[in-house]
Amino acid sequence: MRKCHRILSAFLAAALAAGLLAGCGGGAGTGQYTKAGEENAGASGGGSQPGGGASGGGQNGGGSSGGGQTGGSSDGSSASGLFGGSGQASVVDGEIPLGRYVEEEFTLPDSVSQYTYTTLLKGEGGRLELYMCDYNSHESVRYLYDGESWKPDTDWMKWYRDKMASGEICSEPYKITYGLDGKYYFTAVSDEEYVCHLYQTDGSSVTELLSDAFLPPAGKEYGLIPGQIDVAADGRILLHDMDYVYCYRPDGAMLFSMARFPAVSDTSVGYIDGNEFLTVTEDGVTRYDLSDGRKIEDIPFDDSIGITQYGEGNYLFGDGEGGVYLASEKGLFHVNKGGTLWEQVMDGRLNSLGRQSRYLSAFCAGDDNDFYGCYTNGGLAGFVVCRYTYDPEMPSVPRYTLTVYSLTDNATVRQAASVFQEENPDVFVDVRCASETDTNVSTISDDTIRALNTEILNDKGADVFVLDGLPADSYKAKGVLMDMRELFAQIRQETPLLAQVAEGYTDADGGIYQMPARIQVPIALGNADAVEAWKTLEGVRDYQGDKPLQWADTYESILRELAVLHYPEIFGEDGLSLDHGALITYLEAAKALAEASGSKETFTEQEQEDLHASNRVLPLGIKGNAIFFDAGLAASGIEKMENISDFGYPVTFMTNHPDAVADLVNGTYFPSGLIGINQATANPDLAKAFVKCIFSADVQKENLYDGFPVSVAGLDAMFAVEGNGISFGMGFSNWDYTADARYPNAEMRAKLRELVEGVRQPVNVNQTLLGMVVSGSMDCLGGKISVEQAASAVEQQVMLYQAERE
Amino acid sequence: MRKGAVPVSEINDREQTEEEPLRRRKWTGYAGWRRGNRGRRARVRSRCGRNRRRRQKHGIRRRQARAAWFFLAPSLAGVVVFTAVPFVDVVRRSFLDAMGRTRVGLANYAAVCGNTAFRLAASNTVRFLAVCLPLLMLTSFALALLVFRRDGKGNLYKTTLVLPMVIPVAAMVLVWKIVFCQDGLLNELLNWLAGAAQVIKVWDNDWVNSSAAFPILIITYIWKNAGYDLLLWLAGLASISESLYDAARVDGAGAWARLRYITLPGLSGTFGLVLILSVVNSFRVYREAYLLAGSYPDMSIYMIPHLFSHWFLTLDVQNMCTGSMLLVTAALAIAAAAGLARLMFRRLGKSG
Repeated sequence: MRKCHRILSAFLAAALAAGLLAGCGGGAGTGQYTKAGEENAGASGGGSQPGGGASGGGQNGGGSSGGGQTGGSSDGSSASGLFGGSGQASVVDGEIPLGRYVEEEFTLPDSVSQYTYTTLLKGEGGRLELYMCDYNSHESVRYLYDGESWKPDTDWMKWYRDKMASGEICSEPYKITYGLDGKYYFTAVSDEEYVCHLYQTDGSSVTELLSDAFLPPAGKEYGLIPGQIDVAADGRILLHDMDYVYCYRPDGAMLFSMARFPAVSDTSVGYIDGNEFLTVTEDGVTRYDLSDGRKIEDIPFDDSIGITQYGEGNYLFGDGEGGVYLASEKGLFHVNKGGTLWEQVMDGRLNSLGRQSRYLSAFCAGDDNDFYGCYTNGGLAGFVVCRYTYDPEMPSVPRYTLTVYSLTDNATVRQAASVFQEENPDVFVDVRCASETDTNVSTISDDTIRALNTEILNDKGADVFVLDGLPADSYKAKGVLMDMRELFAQIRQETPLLAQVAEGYTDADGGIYQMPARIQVPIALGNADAVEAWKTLEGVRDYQGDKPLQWADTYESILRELAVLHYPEIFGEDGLSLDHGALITYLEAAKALAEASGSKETFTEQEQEDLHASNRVLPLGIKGNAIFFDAGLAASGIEKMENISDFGYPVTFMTNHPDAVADLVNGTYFPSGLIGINQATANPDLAKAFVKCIFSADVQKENLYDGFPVSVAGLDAMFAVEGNGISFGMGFSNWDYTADARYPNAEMRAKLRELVEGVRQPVNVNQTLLGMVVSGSMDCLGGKISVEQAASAVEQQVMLYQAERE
Repeated sequence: MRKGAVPVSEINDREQTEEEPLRRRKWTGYAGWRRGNRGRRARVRSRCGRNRRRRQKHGIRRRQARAAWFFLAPSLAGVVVFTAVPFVDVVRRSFLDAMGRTRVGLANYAAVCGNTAFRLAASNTVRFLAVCLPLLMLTSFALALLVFRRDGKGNLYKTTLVLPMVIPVAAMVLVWKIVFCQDGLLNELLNWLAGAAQVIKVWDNDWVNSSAAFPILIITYIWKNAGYDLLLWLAGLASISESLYDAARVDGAGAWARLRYITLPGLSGTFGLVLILSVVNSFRVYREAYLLAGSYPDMSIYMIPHLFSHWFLTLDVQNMCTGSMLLVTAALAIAAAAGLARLMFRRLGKSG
C-alpha cells in the first residue's frame, strides 16, 4: 500500500512538473485533442445516370446514389456534426463522382416583365405554357415554349379578350389547369360579387361548370375559391380548399372529400395519377383512390425533406410510372411507386430551389430527362423560369466546402450562399444553424455557444461566422476573428457601403472584424412633440400630453424598448459601462411611461381584450404600436422597419394624420447578420470571396425581410421596386379598428430612403445585460421598491458581469 | 509460537556437525518472537534461509502485482486519458493566452488573482464549505443516531430521510421555487402568521434573489444530501461492536459517556470518509444554485462554477485554467498543512 502511495504521489508530482514545464518552457500549441485532418468529402456514389426520374447526382443522396459529403449537411445529419466542422476547406481527393443537374435560367422576352405570373403548366401535346396577366388592364397573356424560345400566343390572347368582352368569362384567370381529359379549365373571380367561376374550354367554346359549388353558404360572406383545380380523365373535378380537396362530377354533384395539408397558400400540393390522387398531408404524401376517396397509402417523409409551416413552396408531381416527385426549398426528391425511401435528385442549396429571394410557384418534369421550375419574387413583380438538365461531366459533389456558422437562420446569408454557388459551381457553402426553428438569438441556449467555443479552441470552427448573439467582442480580443480592413477597402471600392454603417464598425486603428449585412431601423411616429420626446430619457420622463406617449404594454416590454432605444446613453459607447445617472433617469422614464399608459406586469385576458394589449414580449421590446396613435389612443408609437413594406402602415398613419411626423430615435439602428471571418480558416481566400458576395449588389438588392441593405446599390435597387399595386390591411375581431396600407409610391420611397440613410448609432444589444436591467427594474415599475433601490440592485448585478471581464 | 518454529535456545544448544554450516544457512522457520522497545514485536529470523524466503515472497508478490495492474489497467487508462492528460493541459494553458498560442508567463495568475469576480466566487465557495459541511455532517450524524437500531427496525424513518437523495435536482428546485418565490408558500405563511389581509401583502420577497439566498442554498443542500451522509454514518455505527456498549452499561456509563468514549472513537474512520465525500459532493451545489437563481444569482451564492461557466462563454479559457490551478494549489496546501500538523501531533504524542 505504501508503495502504491509513493507511486501515485510521484505520478502527481510528475504531472504537475510536466505541466509547469510545458507552460513555461514549451512553446505555443494548438488544441491538444484534435487532428487538423481533412474531411472525407464522400467520394462514394454519385454519378449514376438518372432514368425515369430516378436519382441523379444529388448532393446528399437519400438513396443509394449521390455523394454523401460528410461535412456538408446543414441539418446536422452529417457524420461530422459539430466536432467535424471544417476548419479547413474540404477537398475531394481521388476519383470525383460526376453527374449533377444544372440550372439554367431562361431569358424571357422583355415584354414579359410588365405582367404578373399566373401559372406555368404542361398543356396540349406536353408543351410548356406560361400564363400571366396584367391586373390593371385585366389583360390575360399566354406564352408558349417551342423548344428554343418563348413566344406569345396572340390567338389565345385575342380569344380570351373576346370572351371577356362578351361576358362569357367574368375576369382574368386566377388558376389554370390542363385536365387529363384534354381540356383546359380555369377559374376567375368576379370583382363585383367576389364569387369564383369555373370555366372549361377546348380552345374555342367556353362552358361554365359547378356554378352552385362556389356560392357562399348560408350565413357566410364568401364562397369557395379553390387554390387549385385538377381534372381526371373522366371529367371529374377536384377543387382544393384549405384543408380538403372536394371531388365533383361535371354535373355539379359532390362525390367525396379528401384531407390535404392545411395550408394558407395555394401552392400545388396534389395531382391526379390515373385513378389516384396524391397530395401532401402533415405526415407525408397520401395516395387516394379517386373512385371513392378512400386512402390507399401514406408515404412518410424523412427528415431531409422540408415542408414549410404552411405548406407553401412545395410542389408535387408524378414521374409517369407511379412514382412521386416533391419539389421544396430543400431540393427535388423522388420516391418510387410502392416505396418509402426518398432520394434526393437535386439539392436545393445548389440552385434556386433554396434561394431565399425566390419562391417556388411551379415545377414539372420535361420530356428529355429535364425539369422546369418557375419562381416568383414574393408577390412583387417579376418571376424567373429555370430549366434543369443533367450534366454527366459536372462533379456531383462540389470539390470545396466553405462552412458558415450562425446561431439562427439568416436569409441574407442563405441568399449569398445560393448566389455564390451559382458563380462557383465547385464550391459548396455549408450554412450551419444552431437552431433552424428559433428566430431570436436570445432564446438559444448557452450550451450552444460553449459547443462552438470548443470547436474554436481546437481550430475547428467554421470559416465564416454570423456573429449575431455570439460574444463577438471577446472573439475579437482573443484573435479569433480576422481583420478584414483590406477586404472591405476593396468591397467599398467596388460596392460602396453606407458610410455611417461601415465607419461604425471600423476600429480606431482601422481594423474591421465584423460588419452587418443588414440593418433594422426603429422609428418614432406620432405628434411632433411626442416624437421629439423619444429622443432623450429626460424627454420620455417629462412628457406631458393629452394622451400617453405610447399605449399600454407590459412592464418588461417597456423596459426593453426604452433600454434599446437609449442603449448608448445607459451602457456607454462600449456597451458595458453602466452610467448611474442615466440608469436613474431610465427608471424614472420607464415608470412615468408605464403609469401614464396604464401598463401592467401582465394583463389578464379581459384586460387584453379591453385594452387591445398583449403579454407577448420580444427580445428588443419593440412590438410596433403606432396603430394606437392612428386609433387616437396614444400620442406616438415605435415601429421597427426591416423592409419597405414595413413602411406601408406608417405611411398610411401619416396620411391619416397630416400633422404627424416620423423620425429616427437618435439615429439608432440594430445590425443584423454581423459577418466575421475565422482567423484560423484554412481557406481565407474563399472566405473573403464569400463575404464579398454577401455585400455585393446581387445579394444586397434582394428584399428578404430581414433588414435594409448596407450597400448603396442595394438600397437603390430596393427602393426602386414599384410594388405593383400591393396593398394590405389589418382588422381585429374585438376592436372596431381597421387599417389599410399600400406599398409606398416613388415620392414616399425617396423620403423613406433619406430616413434610413440617416442612421448613425449602431446598437449591439447585450441580452444578458439587458436581462439584468429588466429583471432588476420590474419591481420598481410595480411600485414595490424605489428607483434608487432598483438602480442599486441592477448595478450590483452588472458589476458582477463587468468584474468577470476585468 | 508459530507452527514449526524452533526456539533460539534449542538452536544454540544443538551439536555442530559437518553439515551444520549448511543447515544453519537453511531456513528453519521462525526462530521465535521477542519483545522490542515500546512493546513492539519483532520477528527474529536466522540468517539461514532468509534470502530464499525473501525470494519466494518476492515472486509471489510480483505475480500478484502483475494481476492487480492488469485489472487496474482499463480504469487507469481512463483516468490518465480523461483526467491526468487534461490536467497537464490545464497546467500548460495557465501560462498561455486564451487560444493557447502565446506564452504570457504569470500574467494570467496576476489577472485572476486581481479579478474581483474570482475573489468573490472563491470566497463564497470557501464560505459555503466552511458553513455547510459542518452543518451537514452534524445534521446527518444526529439523524443517524436517532434512527440507528441494531434490530433492523426503523426502516421507514431511514427511507424517509434518504428519499430526498433520489429526487432529481431539477424537480427539487421547482419545489423550492414554489416555496421561496415572490408568490410562494413561505410568503403566504408569513402573511398568515402576521395576520395580514389577503389584499395587502406584508411579505412579498423574492427570497432566492435576496440576501437570504445563501441560507436557502444551505438548507436545500442539507435537505438533499443529508441522506447520503446518513447512510455512511449508519454503516459506521453498525460496525461498532455491541459488546462494547454492553460492557460500558455494565460499568455504569451513561448515554453521553458511551457516545464520547465508544461511539465517537469508533466512528473516526467513518468521519474521514464522510468528510472527504462531503467535500467532493459540495462542489455540485452549483446545480442547485444555478437552477434556483440562474446564471447571475445573488452575490452571496455566486460560486466558482458560475464564473467558470461565464468565462467559457467568452472564451476566457486561460482564466479558467489559471483559476483551477490556484484552487488546486490552495487545496494541496491545505492538505499538506493538515498532514504536517498531524505528523507533528504524532511526534509530540510520542515524545510526550
